[in-house]
Amino acid sequence: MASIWCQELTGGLDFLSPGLLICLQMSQWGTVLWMTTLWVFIQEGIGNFEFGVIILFYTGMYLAFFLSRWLLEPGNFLFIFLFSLILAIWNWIIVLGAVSFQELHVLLPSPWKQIPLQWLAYVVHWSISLALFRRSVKYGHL
Amino acid sequence: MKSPRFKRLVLFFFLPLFLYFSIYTWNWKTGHLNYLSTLVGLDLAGWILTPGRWIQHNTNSFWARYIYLVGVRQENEELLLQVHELEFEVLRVAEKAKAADRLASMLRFTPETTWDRRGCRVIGQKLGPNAVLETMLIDVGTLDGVRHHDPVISTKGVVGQILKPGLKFSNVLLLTDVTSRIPVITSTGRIPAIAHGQGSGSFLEIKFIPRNDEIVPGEILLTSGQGGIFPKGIPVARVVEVTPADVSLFQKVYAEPLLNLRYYEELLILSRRETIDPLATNGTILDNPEGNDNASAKDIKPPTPNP
Repeated sequence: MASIWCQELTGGLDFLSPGLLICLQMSQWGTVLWMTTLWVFIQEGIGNFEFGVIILFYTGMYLAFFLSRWLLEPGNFLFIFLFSLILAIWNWIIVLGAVSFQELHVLLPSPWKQIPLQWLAYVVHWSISLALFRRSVKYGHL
Repeated sequence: MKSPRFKRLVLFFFLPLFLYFSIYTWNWKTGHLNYLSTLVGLDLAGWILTPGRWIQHNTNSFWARYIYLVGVRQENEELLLQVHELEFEVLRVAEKAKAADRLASMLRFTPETTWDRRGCRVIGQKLGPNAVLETMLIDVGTLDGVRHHDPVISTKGVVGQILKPGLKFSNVLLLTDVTSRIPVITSTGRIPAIAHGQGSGSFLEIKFIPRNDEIVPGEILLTSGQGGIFPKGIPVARVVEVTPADVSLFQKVYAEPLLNLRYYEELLILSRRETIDPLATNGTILDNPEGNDNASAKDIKPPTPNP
């Protein structure tokens, strides 16, 4: 719910993906599966593209996550910091590709503005959510 | 005999890619997944945003009604004056409208479609990274009778049209979006043209106004009713800039929308009636869908707030 509100208030930044990444970090595969399905339908439903763009985005995200895991420990801040940058760039590429592939003549915001903003959003949201998640686990709520 | 590497490549790359494009193409043709995602995504986001918007609306309303009362008396007096002037204007226009009705019936014009109208609230704007168009989320959907392409207006003029109707929430494409094109006519010269959106905060480009036709800044553009989406005669924009053509056949004309689209909380949706009412006049918008009290496009009132 908070993520949907964040998406509304920031005018188009993605706040749903960090939830999936936290589940991946914690290796909660069942949760990853149902959350991915739900997130795909939510993002596609509130977006303006033909169905399928978010599936491509999440597939790329999962591949990048498993490849990055070989290099860095997924739990630390450096991983979150660098992976968020990759994700923000990937997000921009996917949107740009979808706009061009589906021949939508729209004005996209500048990548020099959109990518840093999305990067910041991922880092902040991911860090806060992860801290809250760990706290909940520590106190036995999860 | 195929090598294991080839099998792995097929299994993990080509097979998923084939499946993805099959689903994508199937959905492109049928639209089933689009429909499903609209129902899930739009409605879920709508239900999440609604309580917050309700609190925001009531807080603003409480503040404006009971706390921030500076200048209310003066504003009230000004509004009363305005109401008297408008009453006089309504009487004058009503007489003209009746005369026009009589003339239309004498000349045996075919009656056009009648429109019902319904109030709605804006509960969201740009939701998520895939929302690349200029859209708004409103709190009515197919369960309320809203359909794809239904016109969305405000008391001042055109806002846009329904892009994606969900069950209880819908997406509205704003007239400023670059994919939006609305057939218009100029209010005095009756010159037909197309109002083309140029993005948020930019003027609309008015296309196809011939170089010899007279159009001046300040002129109001109205819907022409020719696109089959909007009824005729709803204000769309005001001309702000006219550049005479040098070599082109058409003038370069820009217009500004009559309302600031991002700051509207309540809007009206017009729904085309399935049956043509023979008593109704051309392009009539009904104030009371059940009754026979017809109102012209100029008589649109703000929606009654939902309880």
